[in-house]
Amino acid sequence: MLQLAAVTKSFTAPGGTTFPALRGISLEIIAGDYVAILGKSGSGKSTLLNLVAGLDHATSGEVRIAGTALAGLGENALARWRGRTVGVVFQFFQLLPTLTIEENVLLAMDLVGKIPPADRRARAAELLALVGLSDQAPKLPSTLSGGQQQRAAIARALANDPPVVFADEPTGNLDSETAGAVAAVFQMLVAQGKTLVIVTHDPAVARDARRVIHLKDGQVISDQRQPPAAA
Amino acid sequence: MNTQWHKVRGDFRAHRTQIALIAIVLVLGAAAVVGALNTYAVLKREIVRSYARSNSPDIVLSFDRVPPGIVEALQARPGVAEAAARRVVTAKVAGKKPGEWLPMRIILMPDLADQRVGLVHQHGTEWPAPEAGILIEQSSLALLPGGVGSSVHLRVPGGDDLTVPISGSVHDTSVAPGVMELFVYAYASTALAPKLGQPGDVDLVAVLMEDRSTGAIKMADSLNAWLTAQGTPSVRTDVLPNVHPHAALMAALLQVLLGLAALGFTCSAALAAFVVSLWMKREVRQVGIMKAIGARSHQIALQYLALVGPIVLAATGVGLLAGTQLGRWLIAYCATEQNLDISRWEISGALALGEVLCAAGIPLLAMTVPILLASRQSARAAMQDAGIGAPVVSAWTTRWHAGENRPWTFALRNSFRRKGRLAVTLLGLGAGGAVLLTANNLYASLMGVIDTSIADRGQDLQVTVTRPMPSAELEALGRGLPGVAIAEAWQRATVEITPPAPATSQRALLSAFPVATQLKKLPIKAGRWPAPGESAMIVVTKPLQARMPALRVGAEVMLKYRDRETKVQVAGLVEEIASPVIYGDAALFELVTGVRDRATELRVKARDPQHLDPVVSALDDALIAAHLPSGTILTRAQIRESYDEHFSNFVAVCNIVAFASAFIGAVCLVAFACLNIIERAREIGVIRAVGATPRQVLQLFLAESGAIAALSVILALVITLPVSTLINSLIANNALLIPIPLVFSWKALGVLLGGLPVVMLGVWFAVSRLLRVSVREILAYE
Repeated sequence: MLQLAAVTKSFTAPGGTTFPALRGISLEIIAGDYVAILGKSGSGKSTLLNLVAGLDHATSGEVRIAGTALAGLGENALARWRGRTVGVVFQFFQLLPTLTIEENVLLAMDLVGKIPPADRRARAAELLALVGLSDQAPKLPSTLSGGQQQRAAIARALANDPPVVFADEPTGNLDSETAGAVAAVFQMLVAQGKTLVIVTHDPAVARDARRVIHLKDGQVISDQRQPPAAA
Repeated sequence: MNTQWHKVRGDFRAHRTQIALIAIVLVLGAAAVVGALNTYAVLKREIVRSYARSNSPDIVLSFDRVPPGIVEALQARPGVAEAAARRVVTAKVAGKKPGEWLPMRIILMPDLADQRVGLVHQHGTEWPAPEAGILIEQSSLALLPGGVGSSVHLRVPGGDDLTVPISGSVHDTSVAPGVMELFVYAYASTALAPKLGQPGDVDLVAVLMEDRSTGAIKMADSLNAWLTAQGTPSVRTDVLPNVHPHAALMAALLQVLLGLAALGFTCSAALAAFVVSLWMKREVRQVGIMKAIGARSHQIALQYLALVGPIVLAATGVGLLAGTQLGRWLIAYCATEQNLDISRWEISGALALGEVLCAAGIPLLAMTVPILLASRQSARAAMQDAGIGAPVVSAWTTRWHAGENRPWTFALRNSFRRKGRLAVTLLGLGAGGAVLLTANNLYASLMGVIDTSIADRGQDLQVTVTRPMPSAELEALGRGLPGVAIAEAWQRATVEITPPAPATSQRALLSAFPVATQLKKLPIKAGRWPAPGESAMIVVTKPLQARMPALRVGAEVMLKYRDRETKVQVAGLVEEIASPVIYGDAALFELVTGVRDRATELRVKARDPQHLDPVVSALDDALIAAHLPSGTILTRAQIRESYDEHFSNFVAVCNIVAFASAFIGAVCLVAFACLNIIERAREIGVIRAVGATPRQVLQLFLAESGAIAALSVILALVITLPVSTLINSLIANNALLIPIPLVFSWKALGVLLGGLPVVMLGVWFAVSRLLRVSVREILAYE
C-alpha cells in the first residue's frame, strides 16, 4: 500500500543553512494496517507524514502509495490523487468556519467529485453518524467543542472514502476523555479496513496501533509490531 | 541592546516584504496628498496673479474708426484707470496640415513697447522692429508649421493670401491656450497694418476700470451715454468677465484633485493599517508567548510601534520629497495647459507643517489601532489561535446557499465573512462606481439637452458679422451659393427687459427673424409664435423665464434699448440652451430699437446638412470678397463643439473623476482580494489538503471577488440614479434653467464592468503566487 525508499527531506533556513529532517527512510506499510509514528519534537515525524500525505515533496528517494509514485505528479494531479486516495486529520481540526459541519464534509466530496452528487448528502449523514455528530450537522464549527470538531474533521477526511487516512497529532489539542472518543473512531476505521497512519505523542493512541515506528533525528530507530491484544 | 529591541530588529528582517509594502503604500499616499496640496495652493494663488499680470480690460468699445482724442478723453472719465486704442483683425492662418486654415485674431497696437491695458509679455530682451512681422502667442505657436523666424500664410478680409514673417513670440496670460482652442492669437504694430491689407488706424478702445467691483455694465452704459452725447457713439460694447477664460475649469479641477488626493491618502493609510492588522494576526501567537512570560500590553504595543514608527517617518520623508516633485510637475503641466505664468512656486510654512503632520500622524494613528487590539488580547486566546479565524460568522449565514454547489456556497459566505470590512469595501467601491456613473450620466444628460436644442434649430450654419449691414446685402452673400437652400438675415441687439412689478429688469438678447422666416423652428412649450403683423408680441426662452418668473404667457413687459422704451406682450415660451433670449420678428425689432434693417447674423439652411464643408468654404470666399472678417462661420457641429467647450469644465472634471475613481476602485478591490488571500492562506492550504486542485482554489477566490465586484456595481447603480437626478435638477435650476432629463451612460457602465477582468487578473496573480507554495509550508505554524 505505502512504500518509502531511501527518502530524504532537507530544509534550507533563511540564512542559507541546510538541515536534514529525514535521512534515507525506507519502510513499507501494508493495506489495512494501523501505524503510529512516535518521536520527540524535531525527530521528523510530521515531515514524514507530510510526504506520505502528498502535502510536500521529498528531496530524494521515492514515495509510492497504492502504486502511484508521488514525485512524478504535478500540482493538479497531486491534488486529485490526494482527494481520492488519502484523508488528512490535522491537530487543530482546520474546519472551514463559514460552512456547517455537514457542508465541510460535503465540500470535500464536491471538490474531488469521486462520490456521485446524488449520494453525497446520504454519505455525509452516514459519516457524521459514524463519528457521533448527526445532531451537530447543521451547526457551524465555532459552536462545537474541540472533540466534536476533531470528529467532524475525521468525517471530512473520510468523505471520499480514501483507502488511507493520515492524522497529525489528532488528540494533541484534546482532553483525555475527548481524546478517548477520537481514538475509538480510529479503531472503528481500522475495523472497516482503512489504512491508518498517526503521528502522535499520546501513549493511549499509540497503544491502540498495530505497528509503532520510532523516529529520531530523521531516522527510524525502531519499528515494532504490537500484539493484537494491545490494539 | 535590550532584548525587546533585538526582537524589533529580528521582526524587521523577517517581515521585510510587509514592511516594504507598508512603506510603498505610505510613500504613495503622502506623495499624492503633498503633490495635490502644493499644486492646489500654488495654482490657486498663481491663476489670479497670472491673469492680473495681463491688466486685462473690463470694457471694450468698438467704433468704425476711433475718433481723434477720444482715447485721452475716455481716460479722463471718472472711474477709468487706463484706456488704450487698438485694431483687431480676424483672419485665417494656414495650419500644419495641408489645406488647414485656422481662425486667427491679430491685435494691432500703436506702440508695442508702451502697453497699458491688455499687456502681452515678450520673449526676448526687446521688441522687434514694428514692421518686422507679427508676434505669435506662445500657446498658439505649436499650431503653426514654423516657429519664430519663419513665415505664416494668412487670409485677411478683402485681401489676397499673404505671407508674413513671425518676428517673435509673446505670452498673453489673459487668453485660453491657443492649442486647446484651435485658435491662433497674434500681435503686431499698427505700422504693419498696410502689409496686412488693413487700414492703419485703430477701431476699438480697451478700458481698464479703477475699481472693478463697482460694476462694469454700469460703467459701460455711462461711457456709452457720454460718447453718444459727444456725437461719437460706439457701434458695439463688450463687457468682459475679468477672469481667466478657464478659471472655473481650473478651480473645479483643483477641487477634484484635492478630493482625490484625500481619498488616495485615506486609502493608503487604511491599506497600511490593514497590512499591519494582518501582520499582527500572524504575530498573535508571539504576543501570547510574550504575555505568558510576563510582558504587559503597553510593552508589546510599544515594541510594535517602535517597528512601524521609523517606517512611517522614513516613508513620510520620502513621500514629502516625491510629493514636492510631483506638485512641481503638476503645476508646470497645468501652467502649460492653461497658459499661466507662474511667478512663485513656494508654499506657505504653515501648509508645509500641516502636510508633515498629516502625512506622518494619520497613518501612524491608523496603524496603532490593530497593534493595540492585538496587544490587549489575553495570553490564552493569543496562544490558542489556530490560524483559521471565524470572526463574525454567525448561524444566520448557514441559511445562505448557492444551490447544491458547496464551493460556491463557501465563496458566497466568505464574501460576507467580515461584515465591517465588507461594508467599508462595498461603500468605497460603490461610491467610486457611483462617481464614475454620475459623472458620465451628467455629461450624457447635458449633451443630450444640447443635442435636442441644436436639433430644434432651423439653420445648419450661421455667420456673424461684427458690423451691422442691410439684410438684403447679407442674404445676398449666401443666396446663390452652391449647396445653400435658405439664407436669412437675423438682427440682434441687447435690450433691458422689465416684467410687471415687483421684479427688477435684466439684460437679454433680442433676436429678430425676418417676417417671412422659414428658419424659426424652435418648438413652442407654452403659448404660440406671434402671427405676422403682431409686431408687439415676443417669445421668450425658458432660461429668461426662470430668472423672471413673472414672464408668463400674456404678461406685458417693457423692453428698453438705450433711451427707447416699448411695451410688448409675451406670446409664447420656448426651450433653448443659451443666455436669455427674446424672439420677435423684424417689425418688433424696429419697434423696440428704432433700427431698421441692420442685420448681424446670416442663418443658412443647406441642401445637404451632412456635407457642409463646401458651403462653408464658399461662404468664406464670399465674406473675404465682401471685405468682411472671416472665421465667424459656425456650423451645427461647431455650435455643438462650442457648447461642449462651454461645458468643458464638467467634461474635463467628469473624465478625471471617472478615470481616477475607476482606477482607485480597481486598486482597492484587487488590494482587498489580495489581502484577503494572504489572510486566508491557511484555509487555502486546508482546501488543497482535502483535494481541491489549484484551479478550483482559483475559481473560489475569483467567485468571491466577482461577488463583491457585482455587489459594488449594484450599489453604484442604486446610488447613482437618485444622485444623478438630483445633480441634473440642481444644474437645471441654477445653471441651464431648462429641464435636464436623465440620460444613463451605458458607456460608463461598460467601463465599470470592463474593470472586472482587471480585478480578476489581480486576484489570479495573487492566488497563483500562493498556490506555488506547498501545502505543508502553508499549514506550518510559525
